[in-house]
Order: sequence, then C-alpha cells, then structure tokens
Amino acid sequence: MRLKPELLCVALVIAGSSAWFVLSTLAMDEIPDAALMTTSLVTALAFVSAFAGTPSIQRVKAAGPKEFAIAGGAGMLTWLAPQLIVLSQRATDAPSGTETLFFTTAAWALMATLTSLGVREDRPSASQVAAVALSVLGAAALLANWERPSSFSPFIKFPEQELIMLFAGVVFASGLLLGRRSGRALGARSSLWIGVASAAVAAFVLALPAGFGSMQTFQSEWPQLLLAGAALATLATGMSGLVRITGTARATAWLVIVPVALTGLSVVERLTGVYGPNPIVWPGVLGGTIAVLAGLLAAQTYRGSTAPSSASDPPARLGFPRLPLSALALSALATVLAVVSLFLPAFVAFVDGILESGAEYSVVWRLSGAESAVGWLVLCVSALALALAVDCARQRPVRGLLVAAVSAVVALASFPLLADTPLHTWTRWIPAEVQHAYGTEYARLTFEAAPSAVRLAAAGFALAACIALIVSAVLGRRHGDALVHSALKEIA
Amino acid sequence: MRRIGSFIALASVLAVLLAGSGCQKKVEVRSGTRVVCTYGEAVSDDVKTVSVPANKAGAYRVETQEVTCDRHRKLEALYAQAQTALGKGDLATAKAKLLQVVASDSTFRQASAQLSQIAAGAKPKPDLSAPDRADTSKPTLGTPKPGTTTPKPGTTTPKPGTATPKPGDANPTGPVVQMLAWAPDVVPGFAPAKPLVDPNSFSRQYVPATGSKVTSLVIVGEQYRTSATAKAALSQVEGAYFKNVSRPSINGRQVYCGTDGRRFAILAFTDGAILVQVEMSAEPGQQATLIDPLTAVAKQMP
Repeated sequence: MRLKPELLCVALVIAGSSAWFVLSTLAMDEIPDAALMTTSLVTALAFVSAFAGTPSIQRVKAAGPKEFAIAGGAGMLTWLAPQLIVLSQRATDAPSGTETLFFTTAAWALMATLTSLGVREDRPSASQVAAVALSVLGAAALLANWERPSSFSPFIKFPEQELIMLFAGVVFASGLLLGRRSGRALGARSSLWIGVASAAVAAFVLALPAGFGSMQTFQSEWPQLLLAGAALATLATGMSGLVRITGTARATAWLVIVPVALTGLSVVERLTGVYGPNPIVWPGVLGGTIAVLAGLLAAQTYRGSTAPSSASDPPARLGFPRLPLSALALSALATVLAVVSLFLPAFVAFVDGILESGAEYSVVWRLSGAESAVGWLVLCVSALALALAVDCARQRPVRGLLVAAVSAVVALASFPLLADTPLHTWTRWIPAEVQHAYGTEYARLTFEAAPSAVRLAAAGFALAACIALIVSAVLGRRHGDALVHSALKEIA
Repeated sequence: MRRIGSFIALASVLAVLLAGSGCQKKVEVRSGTRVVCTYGEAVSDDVKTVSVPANKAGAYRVETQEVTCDRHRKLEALYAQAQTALGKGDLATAKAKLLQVVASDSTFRQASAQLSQIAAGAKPKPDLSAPDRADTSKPTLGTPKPGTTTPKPGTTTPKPGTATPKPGDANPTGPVVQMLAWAPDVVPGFAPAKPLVDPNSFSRQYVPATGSKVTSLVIVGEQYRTSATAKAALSQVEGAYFKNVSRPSINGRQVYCGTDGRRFAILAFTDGAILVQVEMSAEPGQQATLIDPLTAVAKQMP
C-alpha cells in the first residue's frame, strides 16, 4: 500500500525536474535570475498551498522557533540557493545544454548520494553508491549521444562553472537532509510550506537590488513563469514526499532519469512527424538508457548491508557460501582490471580541419578508457558486483540481491551499444576554430574503437560474478523458503 | 568515519585516474609545407606526421603555398609570345611557340586547341586571359605566397591531390574532384546545380522537371578514413531509412535502398572509403515510389 504514494512522488519528481530544467532554460535569458526565482517560488508556494496544504499552526508553535528556522533554512538551501547558483553559472549556450542538464540532474543524484554518506541515518550502502554511479554514467553516455559530434564535454570548456554546479548539488542535498529533519519535527506538509515560503521571501529580498526587469517582459512571459512555478512546486512536493518515504539518497537517485525523460521528447517529436534533422544517435541513447535504468533499479531495490530489512519480511540467508566467495573473487578481479583498463586506449580519434588561415590541421590521438563510456561502465558494474558480493560473503541480508545482480547484467548488455561513445569531444589543445567547426564542411572529428582485451576481460569477470550472485540469490531464496517450511512444519 | 575515509580514498584514486589520463598525452599531428604550382603540380612536400605532447599540438599545421614553377613560368612566357604572334597574325611564330608549349605540357591552357585550329587552316583568337610576361607580381619558387589561392578561371583543372581546396571553392581541386564522378552532370529528368565541395565531401542538388513526383534530389559523397568507417556510416544511414528496404545490384555494385516511412527515400553504397548517398523526397506517403527513380539515377553513375 505504501508503494502508491512513492510512485506518485517519483512521477512528480521526474515531471517537475524535467519541466523546471526546460522552463528555467527558456526564462533565464528574459528576466534577472533572482526575479525568476522570486516569481517561480511565489507561484510554487501558491501551488503547494492549494495542493499540498498549508502548515499546521499548532504544530509549528509546539515545535518552537528553532525548528521553524531550520525548516526555513532547509527550504532556502533546497529550492533557492542551488537554482540561483546554477542560473548564475549559465549563459545562453555555455555550458552547453547537455552539460548543464547532466550537472543539474544526474550529477546532483551522485552528489546527494555522496553527501548522504556523512549522515548516519541516511547513509547509503556501497552497493547503492555503485548503482547510482552506474546510472549517472548511463546518463552521461546518453547525453554524449544526443548529437554527433557531441557538445557533451564535461570539465573541458567550462570546468569552473561545472564544478560550481556540482557544489550546488551538495547544497541541494544538504537542504534535503535538513528538511527531512525538520519534517520529523514539524510534519512534512508544514516543513515543505515553510521551506518554499522562506525561499520565496529570500528570493524577493535578493531580487530587490537588481530589480525585477521590465513589466513588459512579465506581460509577455507570464505563462512561462507560471509554468516554471508549477514545475518547481511539483518538484518540491514530489521530492519532499519521496525523501520522507525512501530517504535522501534513494529519492535523489531518481534525478538521473531526467535526461531519459527529456530524450523521450525527441521520440515524441519523431512520432508526431516533425521533419528536420535527427541528430540523436539512437543506439548510444538506448545503451545509456539501459545503464540508467539498470543502475536506478539496483539502487532502489537493494538496500545493502547498512539498511536492515523490515521486520515483517525477515532477510533470507545464504546457505551456499562458495558461490558468494567466487563472486567476490571474480568481481574483485573485474574491478582491478576495470581500473587498469581506464588507462588503456579505448578510441583512436581523428581530426581533419581547415584553419582560418587556410592551412590544414590534422591530428590523431588515442582516448583512454577513462575518456570512454565503456571504461566507466565496466568499472561501475564491477564495483556494483563487488559491493553485492561483499554483502553476500558476509552473510548479510540478500533481499533485493537478485534484482540488483540482474540489473548489473542488463547494464553490461549496453556495452556494445556504448562501444563508440567518448565522454568528451572537445579538447583543450586543438585550436578552437577547428573544434567549433566540427560537423561542418570545415572540420571533421571521427572515432574508431580500440578494443582492449583487459576491458573485455573485466567485463567478462564482472558478468561471471553477477551470474554467481544471481545463482546465490536463487539458491538462497529456496534455502530460506525451505527453512521457513520446516519451521512451519515444526510449529504445526 | 571509516566509510567516509574509504570514500575519500576512492574519490582520490578516481581523480588521479582522470587527471592522469588527460595529462601529457602524446598525439600525432601533421606538420609541414606543401608547395604546389599554379598549374597543379606538386613542387615540394615536406609534410610529415610528428608525435608531440598534446598541449603543443595546436601550433602545428600543414601550410599550402602556391607558386608558379620554373617550367610553367617558361611555358607562360612562350604561350604569351604565341598569343602576341596570333594577335599580329603571325601564325608561323605562334605555331612554333605553341609547339614548344605542347611538347612540355599538352594540357597547357588553349595551346593544343589553338594548334589544331592552325593545322586546320583557321586563325585562332588570341587567349586574352594569358598571363603577362612582364607580370612579376606573381610569386615564383623563390618567393612563395603563403596560404592557398583559387585557380583562375580558364586554367586547366589542377591534378587531384596537389592542392588544398577551400570550402565552397567554385573550382574544386584535390581528391574531391575524383569523387565528383558520383555526381553526374546528366541525370534525365533533372537539372543539375553546381556541386558544393569541401576537402572530404561534396553534395550536388538536382532540380526535378515540372510535374515530377520527385520534389528534390541530392547526391552526397563523403570520403572517410577507412572503408570500415564508411561502412559504419552506411549502417547509420540504414538505421535512419529502415522502411521499404531493398538491396538491388546496380552497375555490378550492391546498393541499399530504403525510406524513412514519411517522405524521404535513399539509395546508398560504399566504394572503398567513400560513402555515396542519393536522396529523394516526395509528397508525404509517396516515399516508396521513389525507389525506381533512385535506381535510375544510380545507373547514371560509374
């Protein structure tokens, strides 16, 4: 029965964060950042009041001013500060849309997971960290296939801006963790309302010195601003509810699916018959989507050894220790090989272009596994298998193990689809005039995959480890069932 | 704390991995100067591939300098003298000079044609576009002009592979000239436009005749580095045009035909490292009827 509100919250998070990214991107060039946040948060407050409800005055009074202040601070940290930080780092197309999307959604999921490591009650397990890392890698690979040559080159053209966006993700996660605490004291509804209201007031104060832009702009942009506010309200309501139900790490992990959702808009565009160029590289997008979903599924189903299962569903225990030990050895070997393969070539890149002077520019170089999607894919899957195997070998709870191990195998299936996906196309050393012209008649960038036996071996060992885990989980489940049956017989 | 410490250690290792993978990478960049004669011959070529640290690679490039070589400079002088003689009506002198020119380069300007006219008893008109003997502004081997220049109209087409075309050049040169064979000048039912070329590809549009069910036709040729990459590009084309698929054999070559299910149809094939695509459009829903016209166009190709 608890599943329904969780699913509703997941839907709200995905819809709200996707819509907020699109609408804030459209509106950010029209009005000042603080004014955009003020209008969005005031609108969001109206929506939250209408659909989620207003705070309980009695409960707020009973909780005291300190809890009130914490709720307000959490709201500002969650719904104002990160957004303002991101908006302050964005220009029209700098960083590019793919990079901004990555650093404000998928990367925030990873930052929130890592930030949660510092909070005991929200601390994710090693397997959850590996699973989220896998899905974040999938999102990066997906975005790197939105076009070819891709504009997705994180930390190459705008490293400072992107690092600051990552920091905004830490602020966002800190706000959510603080908000979860205030939610326990004030109630989720009151905490959310106070948080959004505080953020709206703070945004208004921040907007005063710079002004709100012209009235004409508001008159022409009001539908967009209204929708942006609705999107923020949707995201805030969904995320607050999800954090309360599942915890911060698992709730924020859903942000990795936003690039998949926005890619879905392209599918809709194609199905509705809009003509025009189709720059998306669909096999790569499919591979990235598989990795995102597999990692997300593992992160959501397998709690790991730090989160005990509910008392009503006691964990099964493995009665076949050899298989987990084999999985442990295989996954450890896979992880080591995967790390080594990060240093080995993954692609050969060719650039041929013409400089403004008319001279030719031609260069060939090798990209390492660390610059490729498959290099990190194999490492993430190996690390996930290793984390699962450690839990199994320690005879820890295996609830959700089967789904997590199967997810890891499914993620490995994206290997061939991502084999030609580099994680950056720009470099810091090729003349910018050539790189700007990629894809035109003035410059060409092509890649050829350079298969690595070490990387393939790592993938093979990871696969073998996952299969051992799957067999362990199936046998463990049967063993657990047999124990339950024998116990029932004894009782009878 | 132990867990956080492990995480920090892991993050540090990953950061070192990332940083290490991008530092002091060696790359292979082409560098040097290629000197070509105005008439297309390679004069000298010291272009070579050098291995340098990545952060230095931006400084390397291949310069193409255009000069008039000694042989062609002499031919220009002889040709100019011949034109002067033709202007004066001195056919004997003109013939003698033109014979010297043709003996060295039978394709030099209009020398062969003028000789044929003289042999046939006609009096050829002087070539007024001939370079002036006294024109010393043109660079010679000793004073190369940096960069590339467009061949002058009326000159013979430079030999492929000896000059670097600039994108959009009206007179394409280099390897792309050979690729232009895939864009025939005559396609029944269509009026060809001028091909658009760059160093590694060309595209040529053809305007369909009035009343044709075809609304547009374009032929695109693209040079890839290897035949494998060309085939990989062809597979991407096949992925985009995945309906009404057929693979007929035309002129001894197996080609791919398909439509996008909406209004476009394509015929594509590889020839070594070259990918050739012939694309047509029709009214929505009529794309399947384009396969026959596409194969008819392909039959006009080599």
